[in-house]
Amino acid sequence: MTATITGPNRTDPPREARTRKRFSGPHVLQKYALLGILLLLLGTFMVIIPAFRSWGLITSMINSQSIILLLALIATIVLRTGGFDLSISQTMVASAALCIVLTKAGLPLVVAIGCSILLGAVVGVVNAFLIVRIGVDSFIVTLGSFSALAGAAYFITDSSIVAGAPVELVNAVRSQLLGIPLVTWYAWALAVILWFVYQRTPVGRYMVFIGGNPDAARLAGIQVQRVRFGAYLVSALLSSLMGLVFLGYFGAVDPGVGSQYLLQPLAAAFLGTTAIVVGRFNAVGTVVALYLLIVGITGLQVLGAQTWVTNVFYGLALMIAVTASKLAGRKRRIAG
Amino acid sequence: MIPALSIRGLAKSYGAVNALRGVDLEVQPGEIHGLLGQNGCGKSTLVKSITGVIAPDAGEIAVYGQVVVTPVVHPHQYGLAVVHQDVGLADSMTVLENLGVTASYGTRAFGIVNERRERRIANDLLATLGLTFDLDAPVRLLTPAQRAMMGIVRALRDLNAHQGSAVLVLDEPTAALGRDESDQVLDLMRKVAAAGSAVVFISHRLNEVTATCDAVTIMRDGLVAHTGPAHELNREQMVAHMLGRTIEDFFPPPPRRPADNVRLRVRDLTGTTVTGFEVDARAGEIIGITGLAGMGQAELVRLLAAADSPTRGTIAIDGTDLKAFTPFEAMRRGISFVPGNRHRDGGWLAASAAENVTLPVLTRFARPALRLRAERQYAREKLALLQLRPLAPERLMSSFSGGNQQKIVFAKWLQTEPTVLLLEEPTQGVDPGAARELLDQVVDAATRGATVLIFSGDHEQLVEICHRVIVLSHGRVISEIPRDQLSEERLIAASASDA
Repeated sequence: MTATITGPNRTDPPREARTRKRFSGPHVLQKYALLGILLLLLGTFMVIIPAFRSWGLITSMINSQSIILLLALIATIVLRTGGFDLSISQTMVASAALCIVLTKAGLPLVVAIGCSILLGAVVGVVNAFLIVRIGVDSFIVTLGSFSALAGAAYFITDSSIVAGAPVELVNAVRSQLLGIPLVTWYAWALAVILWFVYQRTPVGRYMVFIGGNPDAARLAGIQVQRVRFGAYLVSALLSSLMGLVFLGYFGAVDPGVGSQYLLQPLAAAFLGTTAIVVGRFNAVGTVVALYLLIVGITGLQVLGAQTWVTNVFYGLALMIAVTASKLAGRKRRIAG
Repeated sequence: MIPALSIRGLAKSYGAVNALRGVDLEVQPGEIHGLLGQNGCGKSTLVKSITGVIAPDAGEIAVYGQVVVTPVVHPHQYGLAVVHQDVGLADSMTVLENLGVTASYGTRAFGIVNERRERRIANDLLATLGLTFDLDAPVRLLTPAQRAMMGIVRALRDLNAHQGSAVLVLDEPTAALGRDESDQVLDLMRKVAAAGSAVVFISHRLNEVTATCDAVTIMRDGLVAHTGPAHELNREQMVAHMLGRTIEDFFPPPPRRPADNVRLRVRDLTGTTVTGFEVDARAGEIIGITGLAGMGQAELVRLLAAADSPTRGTIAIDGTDLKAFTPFEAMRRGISFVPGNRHRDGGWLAASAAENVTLPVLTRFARPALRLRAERQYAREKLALLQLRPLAPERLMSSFSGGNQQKIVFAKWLQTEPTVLLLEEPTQGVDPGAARELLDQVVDAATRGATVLIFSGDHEQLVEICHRVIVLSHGRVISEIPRDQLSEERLIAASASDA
């Protein structure tokens, strides 16, 4: 089966080496577009609104969003594995309610904190069991636990606002370091930790493959069920810790406040997929997205917009973010 | 005579990559025209230009003398249709429903489907092609060959107004089919051409090209390397045009005699179709597993890879049973599995080629943080070995052509030192040059002591490289043919003997 030589000689691939550089071009643009918009928006507001030039406004803008940023970062954990955890904000509120009621009943703070974390563990295990072991849709399960925990928060607080958070918690959240409250440092620390886990550890890579193609991930020897179970558990545990942060930040618990924290973190997490690591839920992208949203909202409010603009802004941002990532994905497929 | 399809000077580049550098193609009515070329030569880009998926940079396309405005918006209006290898059928719906769906069931008023009219159109079409399909059967019951034929029939249904003057582009319709099954599809192709339409047949199966095509056009590096009557070229000359060089042989030299120790011992392995499968495979042995389509091969390979759990049975490697039927455990014991369905099982298209390749061995690069540069370098080496084109590991897997995606899936499993290598249609959609490369790697793995099981309908391949071939029928082993008795005829006869 020997063949004869015909035609020109084999062309070899120096051009392939060149493709590499070319491909980073549009890619870089996409990665940093959102950051660019953030800086542009901030710059514009600084030029047209004198109040924007004050350091105080910038820091208060950032600090006011730290709770939402923390929640958004937590939300990326389950989102990255291809599921939804809608129960994050209610786990936070129920955990905060439990902690404040127990301390007011005279229990030591450590015990109260332990109970709050235990609550988170229970929520995580129940969610994970139903979703991962039984195979119920994550959207449905966590919507269910969202509602159940909302009810539980009312039960724990006897349907009233409970004030008088332990001073230790308040100090642990509101004390300042370099002029910035600890809560903001926590948010940045979580962003760094998650960035590291997502970009620089096998687990982070496994998570995103599971979210993308669970069948292929499983056949590659990844323990898909274990990683997914872990994601729901960690999500709930961090949410219960968020209850303590929430308690320290506000000093009181309103049992009905959970639903206000449902949409905004998700919007930031989804918008975050259009930046830095395009097409994937990622930590730094989420930070950029959230700060973009808050700069936009604050600017509009300073210019005279009403508070409802926040809801409109976040709702639209969520829709635009998801649409944008869909379109980006489509373009990339065609480019093949 | 006005050509059915005429392409002049078609060009397209992606960044610095010139996918098409001025391609001419002329296809006559009633002709089956083979379009050949190795993976990444520009065939896919050509097809995408015809169907309007991409806009070419330059060039003219004409169908029966009518100039097609690019980018093409409605190829059907010109009588142009493309059938992809993955036909895209809705499994739970019936044959009738699937046939009409791309033509929107020809609905006019209020979007109501006229079922009687649908049935008449479908029956007429099937009758002219001499096909018998149960119109009310759900598509999931069809054989792979019938599914491929459905794609062709549906395309003809879409081109209703162009009966007998259509241009049908078939993109590797037989790549995933066994020999007996592809024959059915090739027959249908001949009928379509005999009725006056032009057929462009894209394939890497050169024997099929020689058997059916009137003319061939061979592409290389975005240019036409050769065009002319099919009978003027033999298989070796075709490959020489495709690669721009000769390859000594399409297949690696016969494998060495396997070692004496049993590496893989399977006892009473039973699933839904597979019943009581047993084998003693030695280190270094290459075993082919074949049969007519749907006789349990697909299930057997998944059971052996521990992707699915058997109802009973054991798999032992080097004398120790597999403790659990999970891919994790299988991998731990050195079982590597190159799945046949690469989109579902082989990888994640939205991840880069490099990420897909390193996924099973990622922990190697964790110290504890991932050393990304080492990872990329490693993936690049593996992919270079299999001649990925273009060699750009950071590009998304989805941006590669089918054959190159197969190389990525392959590279993923060649990095470990496997004890057992399970291959399902390993060279599907891969050009002969790259296929040789893949098979060399397989023989190498066997020489280093792996037991290799190849699940394939490509009898020629099995005859060339296997020590023995096991034939399945209805989930049971019906015969086992040793190397000295292997021939394609023998395998066809054995496959059909109990069907």
